[in-house]
Amino acid sequence: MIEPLLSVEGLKKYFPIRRHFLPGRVEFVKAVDGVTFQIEQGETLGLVGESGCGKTTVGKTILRFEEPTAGKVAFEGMDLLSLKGKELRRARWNLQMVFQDPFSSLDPRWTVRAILREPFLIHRRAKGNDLEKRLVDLMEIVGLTRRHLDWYPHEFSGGQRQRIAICRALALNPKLMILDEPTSALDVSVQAQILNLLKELQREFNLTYLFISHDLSVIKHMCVRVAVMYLGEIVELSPCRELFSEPGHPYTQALLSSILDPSVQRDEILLEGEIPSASAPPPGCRFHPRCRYRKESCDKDKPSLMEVGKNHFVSCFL
Amino acid sequence: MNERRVILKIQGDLKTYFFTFDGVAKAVDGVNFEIAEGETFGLVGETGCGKSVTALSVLRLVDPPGRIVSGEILFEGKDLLRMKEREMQKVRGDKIGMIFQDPMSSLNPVMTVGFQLKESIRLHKGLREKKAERLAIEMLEQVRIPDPSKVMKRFPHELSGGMQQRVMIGIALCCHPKLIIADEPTTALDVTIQAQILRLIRDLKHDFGSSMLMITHNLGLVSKYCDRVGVMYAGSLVEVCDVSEVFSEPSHPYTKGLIEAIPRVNAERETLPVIAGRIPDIINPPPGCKFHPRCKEAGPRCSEEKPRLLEAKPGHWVACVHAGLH
Repeated sequence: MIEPLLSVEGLKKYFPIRRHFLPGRVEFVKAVDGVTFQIEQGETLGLVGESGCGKTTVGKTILRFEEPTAGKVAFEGMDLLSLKGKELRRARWNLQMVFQDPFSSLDPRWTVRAILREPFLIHRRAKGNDLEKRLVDLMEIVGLTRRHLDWYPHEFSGGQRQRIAICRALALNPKLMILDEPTSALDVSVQAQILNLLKELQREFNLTYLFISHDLSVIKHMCVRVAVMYLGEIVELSPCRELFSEPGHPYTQALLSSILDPSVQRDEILLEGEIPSASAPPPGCRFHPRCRYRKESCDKDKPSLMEVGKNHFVSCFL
Repeated sequence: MNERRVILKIQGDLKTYFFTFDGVAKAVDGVNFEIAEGETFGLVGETGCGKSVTALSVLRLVDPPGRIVSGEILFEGKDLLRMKEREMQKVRGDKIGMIFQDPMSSLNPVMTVGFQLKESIRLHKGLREKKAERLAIEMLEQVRIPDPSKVMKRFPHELSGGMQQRVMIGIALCCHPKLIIADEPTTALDVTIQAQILRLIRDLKHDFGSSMLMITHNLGLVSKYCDRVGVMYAGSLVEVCDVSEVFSEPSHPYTKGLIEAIPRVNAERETLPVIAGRIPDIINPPPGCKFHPRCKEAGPRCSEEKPRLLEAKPGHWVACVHAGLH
């Protein structure tokens, strides 16, 4: 077996919240609670889940924008979590992130040129004429032109801004891009343009994507494999096609039934209740209070991911 | 359609313009449609196409520099635009209920849920505190909020997004309005919660026998919850038809493009067909058909002639010179 490009093992991220005035009594929001997955070179892994399930935090901890509480992250066999200073910066050449909201992820007071130059200057990768040439190339790759370099972010539409954000992530020729809901702030017709661009770039530069989204139809279009998250845990990990044809976990089934796609008529599975708080997750299986199939043991024993088909893992007792 | 009673009829080219320093922004530029009793009419379109302004125009809630320039909005046969403000206040919240997109910013953060619910009931039904309280609790039960008497004393921030939206729905529907206007009611919510809320709105609408104007950018949602649909582009309606027809035989090139661009679950496509270009500037829209610069089927006539919304076949209206009607 070839070594995966990125391997994440038992990743945990707890955020402390102080509810109590006495020191020492700290509660935690368990945003990510033991997540394990691998991404192979050139593939797109989708990470789906609802807000607050920890999918963005997974992305951020891989890049160490957030320091994980526990777990291992290895990129090309190198342990990312032990890196410091210069080495960490060097490693980040290969790992880039595109954020959800192109309105807040670009500095409004900087021109596009300044925004795109920053990665080169920080990492001392190019300067002078080389840099200028590279910037023009980059703009053309994402479908913008040389003259746009002197514009400010507010002069662009949402779709164009997202192109600039993608451009910035591409600047240093990364191997892995973490795309955090790259199209959820955009209209459908613009979304289609950006999704096409991302696919093109992937082919051209042999990129690997971790695609974070809550929109299952977008995931289906983009991804090879999908991990479904619920309350900080992965409940199902499966090749994309199987996930949609034979979803294993009751939560996945409910998610799939809620897709509003005019071409599919599924029986609607309505989940009861709301997503519990991540600071006090339910005992046993975290999904059991909302599950249609819950049995008595579901609130006591915690299921773990088990292989139910080829490369298809489900965390459920059924 | 004619046998059924029409509850809302927008006619005579509704135009709502915003008089800004940069020029006149034609947010709504000639819109006509009607909603029959009991019907759910979906208004779809992309950001900035004027669908929300259309809804606000119906309630006469367009703030300066915006102004309704022309058109008639007949609600139960009476023109809302000719009513005095006092009469209009009686219509808003009583006969027409509105559910807004973002519950967090539409609820008052410093008032309890109970106060906000009772306010509407007291104003429109003239009930005293005790009766209003009872009615409010009943309403919260109807929107399926657990433990309603406790929730009455809560402030909006203490509730989750889904619960807040339920409260919003409660406020909008507490007077059993004839017409419900829902402006992107579930865009701010998660998918599983979205399904709950949409089901709830549909059920309550059915129970109260109301009609609904549902504003959304999500064509999938329209397919499941609406009876008829109007597609808006740059301030005008380009197509109006039954929901089943919009997906099986879309006629306007914009509608076709929009439907094609949605990623589908059961289709394997390497690239998604896109609509070239961008939405036009509504201050200086392109001449003729506003869609022609992006249209694949555009001909020489398209940049000169402004197509009107005409009936291509019974119940299916299209605004395109190529629909063979002009």
